[in-house]
Amino acid sequence: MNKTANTLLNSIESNPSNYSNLKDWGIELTYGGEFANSTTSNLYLLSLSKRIGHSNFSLRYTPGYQKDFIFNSGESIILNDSSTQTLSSKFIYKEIFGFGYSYQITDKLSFGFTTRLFNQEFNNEVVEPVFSDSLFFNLKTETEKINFWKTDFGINFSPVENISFSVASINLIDVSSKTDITSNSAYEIRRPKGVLIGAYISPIKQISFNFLYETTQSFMAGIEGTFDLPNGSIGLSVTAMHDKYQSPYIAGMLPAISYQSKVFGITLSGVKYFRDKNTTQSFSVFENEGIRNILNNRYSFDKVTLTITFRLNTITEEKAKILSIEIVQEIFPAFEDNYLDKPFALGRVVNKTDKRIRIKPSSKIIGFNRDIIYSPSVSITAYDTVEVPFYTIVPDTYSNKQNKVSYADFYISTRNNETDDKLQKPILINKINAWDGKVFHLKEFIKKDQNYLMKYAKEILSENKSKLDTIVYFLTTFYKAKILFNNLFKKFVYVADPNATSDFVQFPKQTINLKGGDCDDLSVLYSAVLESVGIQTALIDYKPEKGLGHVNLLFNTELSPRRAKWITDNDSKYFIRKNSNGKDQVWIAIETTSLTGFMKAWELGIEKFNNEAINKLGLAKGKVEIVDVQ
Amino acid sequence: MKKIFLILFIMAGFLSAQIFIVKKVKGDVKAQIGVSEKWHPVKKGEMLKSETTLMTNKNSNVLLVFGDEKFKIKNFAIVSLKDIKKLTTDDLLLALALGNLIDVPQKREKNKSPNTAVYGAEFNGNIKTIISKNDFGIMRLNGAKQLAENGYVESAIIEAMETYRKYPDTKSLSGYRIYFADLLVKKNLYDEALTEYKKINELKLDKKEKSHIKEQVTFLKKKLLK
Repeated sequence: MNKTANTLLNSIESNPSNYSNLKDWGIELTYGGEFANSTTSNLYLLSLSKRIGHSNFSLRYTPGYQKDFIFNSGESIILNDSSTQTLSSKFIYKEIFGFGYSYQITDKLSFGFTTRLFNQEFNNEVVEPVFSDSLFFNLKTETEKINFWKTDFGINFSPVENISFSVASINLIDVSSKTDITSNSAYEIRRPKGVLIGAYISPIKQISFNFLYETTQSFMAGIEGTFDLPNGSIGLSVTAMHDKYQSPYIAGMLPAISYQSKVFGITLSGVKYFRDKNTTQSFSVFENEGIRNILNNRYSFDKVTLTITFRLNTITEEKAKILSIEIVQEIFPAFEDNYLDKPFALGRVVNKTDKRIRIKPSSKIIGFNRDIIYSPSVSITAYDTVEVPFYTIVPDTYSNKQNKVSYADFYISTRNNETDDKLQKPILINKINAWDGKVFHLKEFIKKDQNYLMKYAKEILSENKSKLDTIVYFLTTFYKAKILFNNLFKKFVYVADPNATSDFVQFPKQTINLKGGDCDDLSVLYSAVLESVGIQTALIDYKPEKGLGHVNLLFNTELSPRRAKWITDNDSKYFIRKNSNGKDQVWIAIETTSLTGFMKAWELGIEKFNNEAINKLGLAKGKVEIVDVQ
Repeated sequence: MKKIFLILFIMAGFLSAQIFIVKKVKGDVKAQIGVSEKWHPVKKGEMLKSETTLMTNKNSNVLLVFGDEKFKIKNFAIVSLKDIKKLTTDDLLLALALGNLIDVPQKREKNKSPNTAVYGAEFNGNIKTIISKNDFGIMRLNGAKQLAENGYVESAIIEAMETYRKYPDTKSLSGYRIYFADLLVKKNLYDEALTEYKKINELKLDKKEKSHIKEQVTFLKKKLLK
């Protein structure tokens, strides 16, 4: 019933249901001795256990499970040399080996059985008269051997992590090798049928209580304290024992100290009986009451045992399991930053252990990621299920121009280099220029080619240096934007998206090379060019009632409202935005598809903005949105 | 058949865009159409579209007729004809919300509270030296007042708020501020009015204005408590 130990190999006596939380192989060896003149074998027990799936098998050899009794018969014979020899009887009780099997039906319920082979040997010295020329007596030993098999069944139930109950039979199936026992039948091990009821409660992690009750009116009650160490735990326990056939009421105590690590355990335990050892017992008591247990009876001596346990785990223990994975975002390779703070997949992961664990999620999209991408660790309490986000990184070199369906491998691990579980899901990797139609994501295209654009913009501005030098300083931003527009777009043509869909956006450099594009390509380019020289921009998302929407651009002239008159005599051609420092600044809208010139693009841009965003209250109604690039 | 379609098309255009006819003109009245940079003199009988903005100088006014209604723009005012329209209180609330929606989002690391003391800080000096007599801002506010006087209260409030943003010097004109804040009270927009009175209270006010603000704030607090 000790749940802290991983094996319970030697406890068939108190665990007929063969309950075990062993993960794979278990080997146990118990060595000890009684505080008596002689012992039969100091090797008490050697056992081997193995879990296969939900089944647990145990096999044990018990050379030290033996109790010998030698009685004087009270009869004596006088030998030829006039010496006297007293006749004696020797009874030997042994448990040879045992086998156990259990099946775990659910995490909370298991059942099983144990079968043990016992051997009883009764040796009685008798004097046999021999009739020949003269009558003489021959001393001989009559031996009677009786084997019997004992099988019991039991159930273990743990409704919650820190409580479990067990019920098992005592001597339910009892098959004897010999049914016609003659004179020694009175000395056989008594095997009354009964029931063994157990309970285990651990109110706090460090303390647990065990209780076992036999319907033959015996019980054991114990307390155990466990103290965690960096690589294992130390357990201290003491158990009191009451046996109906022993006195005093608490017949003995069983102290134990153990150290348990993941693969190794060592336990020093003993039994201390409280009865008066000087008291002699009459044979008639033995004859009337016999013994019911080889290890623990009214004739048992104090004993000490040392148990060494090895748990060999060749199977990786799965502490966490992926229940499901949902791909929440297709992969758009242009949206580099998007997957760093927004997961592309969400997994439901369960902690299968009774302890808090920390899992490290990771993923690899085949044909996309070169390496496994690790997401932040997630802590999961015992037996809990949580949602785990998976992030990814877009490789710099990805340039695939076709959409493709690939697979993403998802991993969770609770320790280095070992995977607890993995799952594969199909995923769509869009082409490099793919866009999901969300204006917010155009920012990702604007960020590309910044070095190239900076150089490109500076070249244009250098060519117009003389003009810029004559302009009053606070108009510099406005005129830079104007010069860049006029130089950038003078040879451009507007080209509607060839597929009339919103799923393809050119990178700024591509638009420059192609000398054309549609509204999103041109807005991305102009925004990227302005941003490259430090001019703040925002995209305006005109959301359609149905069909395709429209995108154009705002930029910050950095003029104060009082200076707006320096760029226009019409106060409807600009509007005021408070910047992040609370300062009012003049912004103007530009229709980038108007390739005829900056002033016309401004007029068209502000007309659309005034009409859709302001007069029709589109901004307030959510039909128009300003998406700041920075 | 083609003619019928053409007539219907033209009528649809007229119906969708309100036409204003200039009935009387006195003095210097100019018009600016759409996003044009130019102002041209307005003549009697001229038909103006709603995208037109009219400006009346000193001792000037203009009388407009549209449908069965008339609208007189008094002297020293600017009125955008698109604002001569009835709006609902919901539209007014949405328009007032535009101010916040249009601003650049506050960056988290800045974590600055809105600066409510900006007017006082900027205009502790002599107001009259800052505001020119020909300031478009004052003319816009005069135009907004006339919208309100003609029953277009919601449009008047929106125009006033927009004017404060585009012509920040006008924020220091307590008389106008109080006038339009009182309009908010009339429209039962108590929260908005209280916020506006609190801002006005930071300006340089005379005794009468102070007393009015105090009275209005007390009234609004009682109303809002209910």
